[in-house]
Amino acid sequence: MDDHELLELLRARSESAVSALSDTCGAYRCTIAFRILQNDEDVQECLNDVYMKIWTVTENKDIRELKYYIASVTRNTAVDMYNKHKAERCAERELAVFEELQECFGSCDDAVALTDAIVITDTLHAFLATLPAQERWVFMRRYWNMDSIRQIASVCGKREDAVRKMLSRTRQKLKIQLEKEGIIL
Amino acid sequence: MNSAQLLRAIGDVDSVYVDVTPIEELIRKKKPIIWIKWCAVAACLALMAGCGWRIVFPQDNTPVWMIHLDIMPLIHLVLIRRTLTVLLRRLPS
Repeated sequence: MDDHELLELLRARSESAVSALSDTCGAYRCTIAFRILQNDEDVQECLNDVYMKIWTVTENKDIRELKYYIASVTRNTAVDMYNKHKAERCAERELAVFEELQECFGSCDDAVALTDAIVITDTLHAFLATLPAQERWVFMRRYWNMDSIRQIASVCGKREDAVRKMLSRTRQKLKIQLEKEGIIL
Repeated sequence: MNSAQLLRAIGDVDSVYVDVTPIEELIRKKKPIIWIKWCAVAACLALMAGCGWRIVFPQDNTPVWMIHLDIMPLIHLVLIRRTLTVLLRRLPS
């Protein structure tokens, strides 16, 4: 079933849309949610939320790339859930990507300006546009898809250290960009 | 803003920057190119054989019909260089 047919089923409120949705990158959604939440129960809860969001939103929203949309909703729901759980349970174990991104802010969170989410997204767009293709791909695979450095290295044909260094350089560039835009004081 | 908010903001970037192909699929697609390694080994062996021939049979004792071997190392070098250039071009970026 292609994206268009699935969207039609979702908009028609057909029950078969649920099983079709599960077939469409179902394993990928589980993987991305598990990488963030690292707990089967939370993953199941997250995926239920994702189904609900997709079920309610698709009716009115103009969706061009269903695969990206589903992956994006799953990823963002999982990150929101992780942040919520982190605040509630004081996080038993922090995700490696959080620690890596913390480099952009240094040690002090207070020195950070309050910024609108749209401004941050625009800054990210401008930043990503300036990056070389491979650097951008590695950055996004790590911080969007949450892939491990080992996996990224094996796709790029590089050593893990080289990927780590590349990510570190990209984070430094991002830090400079965020400072320039006044997002980090 | 903190790292959690930044990670969340990264989730809102445009789809053009995102590759949603599962990484396991990409790893499966990227088969190791073993033949390039063996080609390089064969080229090195050929070079060594060419140079070795010159050492074992110095120029003075070389029969006339073998004079062309004098330039063999040079030919090997040019061939190896060209082969490697072609092979490297064929590697996926």
